[in-house]
Parts: sequence; C-alpha cells; structure tokens
Amino acid sequence: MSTPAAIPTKFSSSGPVVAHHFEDWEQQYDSCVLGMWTFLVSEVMFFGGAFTTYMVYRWSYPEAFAHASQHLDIYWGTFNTFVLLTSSLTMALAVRAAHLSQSRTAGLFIIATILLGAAFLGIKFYEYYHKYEEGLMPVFGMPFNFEGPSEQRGPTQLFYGLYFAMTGIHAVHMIIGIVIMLLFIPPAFRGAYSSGNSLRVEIMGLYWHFVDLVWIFLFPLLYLIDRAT
Amino acid sequence: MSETAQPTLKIYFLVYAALMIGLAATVGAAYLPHGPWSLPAALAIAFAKAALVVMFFMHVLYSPRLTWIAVFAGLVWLSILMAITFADYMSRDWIPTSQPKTGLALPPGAESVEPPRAAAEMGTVDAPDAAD
Repeated sequence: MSTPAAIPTKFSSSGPVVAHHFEDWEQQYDSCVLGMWTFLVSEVMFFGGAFTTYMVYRWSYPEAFAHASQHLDIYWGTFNTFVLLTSSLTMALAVRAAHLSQSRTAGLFIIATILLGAAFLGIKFYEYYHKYEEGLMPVFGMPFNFEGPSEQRGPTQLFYGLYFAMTGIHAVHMIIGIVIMLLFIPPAFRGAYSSGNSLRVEIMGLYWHFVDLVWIFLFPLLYLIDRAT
Repeated sequence: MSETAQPTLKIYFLVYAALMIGLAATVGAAYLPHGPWSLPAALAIAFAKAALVVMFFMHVLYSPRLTWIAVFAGLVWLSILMAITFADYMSRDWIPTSQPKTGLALPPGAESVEPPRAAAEMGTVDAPDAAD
C-alpha cells in the first residue's frame, strides 16, 4: 500500500489509500483479507501436521497419554483459555472500533489485547517452569523424573515432547502477534485508523483470532484426556 | 466484508458468552465418564467454538464467497492430510506380514514397545485402555 502524498503533520489523519493496482478500496480490502486467509490456511496445515502427529501417537499409546495429561495443571490451563478467549473479544472490539473510525478506542482495545496476551504467556511460562522443576520437561536432553512402569516411559516422553512443541510454537505465534500489535499502538493514538482506514487492524485481528483458534483445539487435546478416570 | 456489514456489539458479546459456555462444557464433559466418546465430545465442542470465532470474530459470515472458499479449502486439505495418515497408521496391523510387529518408532530412552492396538482388540493381550 502506498502512503498519502500529503506532508504528515501532528494532526493529520490518513484515510484509506487505494494502491494503484486496485480498482477501488472495496476490492483492495477484500483482496487483502483473502491474502491473509491464504496465509492462515498455510498455518492451518503447519499446525495440522503437529495435530496429526499427536493423534497418531495418542491412538497408539492411549494409556500413557491419559496419564501424562493428568499431570498438566487443569486450573491454570482453564484460566489461560479464559484469558485467551477474552483477548479475542477485545481484539474483535478493537477491529469494530477501527471500522467505526474510532482510532483511539481501537488503540485502547489493542492495549487490552496485548495485556491479556502477555498474561497468557506469563501463565504459560510459569507452567513450563513448574514442569521443569518437577523434572517433567524431557526436551533438549533435560532430566525426566518418570515414575511408573518402564514400558510407559517412552510414550510419556512423547506426550511431553508434543506438549512442549505444540504449546511452544503456539507461544511463538503469540509473541509475534504481541510485537506486531505494539507497532499498532502509536498510529492508533495518532488517529490513523479513522476515516474508514480499518484494513490493517482487521488483518491483525484475523491473525490474533487464528492464534485463539489453535488454542481452542490444543486445550482439550492436551489438558483434558480421560480426566474422569 | 464491507465496512457497513459487521456484527453488532450485542452479537460480539453473545458470541463471547457462547465461547465461555463452550469452555465450561469442555472442562465439564472431560470429567464425565464418556469412555470412548470423550474425544469426539471434546472435538465437537472445539469445532463449535472454532466455528463461532471464524464466523463472527473473523467476519467470514459477512465476507465474500471467495473468502469462504479459502477457509473451507483449509479444512478440506487438513481432512485429506489426516484421513490418509490415519488410514495408513491405523490399518498397519490388519494384514499379517513377514515383518516383526514393532509398532511406532519411539524416541531415545524408550525401553520397550506396547503391544499393537489391533492385537489387543483381538483379545490376545490385555487392551491398553481397559487397564484403568
């Protein structure tokens, strides 16, 4: 997208700018959303590979997976899901504010989303540290305090490997999202997302909701195996 | 989505409330003794929550059909990936071969291998999930 030719001043607000290769703003808007979805579909396939691996090994070693899953902290896991779903709501409200040309409100909701995302990551790393202290972080050659029948040791290690890999790449996606959202704050308070210039916030929202989507599947698959037994 | 067509504030909060109910339902359902149905139940709730996020928060419901095609292409290709992978892994023990049954590859540190699931289902060894 090109930038407006006007000399930026403190009080200037940049409206939507149609790049030269688009017919109009509507076409540019739909094209950018479609492009973002194409990227998100490639992300679906990226996480899909991890989920497929998880399902194959869970099917092969149901007992070890159920046992290992019950060692994860259900309370922090549930609370974190609540935090992330709430951050999705604040992101949706930020996008709505941008569509209504309320740039400042959009900025405030983006800050709320960042804070909730950071809370999620804080809790996640607390959980990681707790697992490390318990010796249940058998990745990168770290110690593995396994108590139980020896034939369950390998499958249990597989579960923890998948747990740290999947939540780890999810956390990396969140960190990227938070960094990009931080870049949105100064323009939001300069009034950049007014006059219908909501496209960038919409695209950012799509990314953040995707991160939420991945967690919606990760949470029951990792934390909630056979809790009834 | 054009700027005029977007969900009202009420819809956003209703979707959020539904997601919270979904979260409570997922955790609640996990503690009910469904046996083999706990995984399908968990996945059904997860898909319902995902559909709400995609349709309302991600505005797909208000988007042109081209966006719908992109979204469902993702779903279709993911189904192909999973269906063909599972068709391989889950049928490996169905046909006897001259190869010894080794199951899946284990990471270093693994000492032995569980009996293959198919053998367990035929009753030759104890079923792994009947032990609990």
